[in-house]
Amino acid sequence: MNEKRLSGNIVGFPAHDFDLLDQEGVRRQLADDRGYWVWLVLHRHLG
Amino acid sequence: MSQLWQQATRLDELRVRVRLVTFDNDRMAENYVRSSGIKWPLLLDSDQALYKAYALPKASWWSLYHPKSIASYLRLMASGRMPGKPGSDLRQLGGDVLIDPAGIVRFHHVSKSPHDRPDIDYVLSHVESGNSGAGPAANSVGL
Repeated sequence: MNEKRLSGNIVGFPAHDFDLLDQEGVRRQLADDRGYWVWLVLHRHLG
Repeated sequence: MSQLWQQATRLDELRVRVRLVTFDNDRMAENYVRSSGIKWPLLLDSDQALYKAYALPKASWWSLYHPKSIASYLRLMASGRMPGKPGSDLRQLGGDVLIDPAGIVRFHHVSKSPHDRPDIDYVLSHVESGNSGAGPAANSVGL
């Protein structure tokens, strides 16, 4: 996982390889989203 | 983000669910939801674990105050909107990750500056290719 992450080559790998499951709220949300495409928009600060 | 929100119907038709992620605190998140009118879930990632997981870097101070960034702020203000109070980490950049229905990452965009956002049509071309059974489109933006 770390090698993939460091290389930036994450396309084509399971999203779960990238610690999504470590985040309880995200895990629950993505479980609800199963079967859909999910577009994660990671914001910079909200100001 | 408002440009993406304007595509909400199209996104629904393509079976795309948008999930917003922020590292700012819950009060700032509530203010953002209230002021933006955006109805998608806003997930809190206070320790920036997802940002680290998806290799989203910190901006240099130069890029924060680059003339292009200043111009973006000026355009925002000219349109009648004011930049809000900065959140907890000015330098953390954002990004976009598109995950297919099988849980596979199909697109990964790492912002190179505060106002670097992927083209919506380009991102959705991956979805359309996947839904048509043509397989994923060409690879995404690299790091």
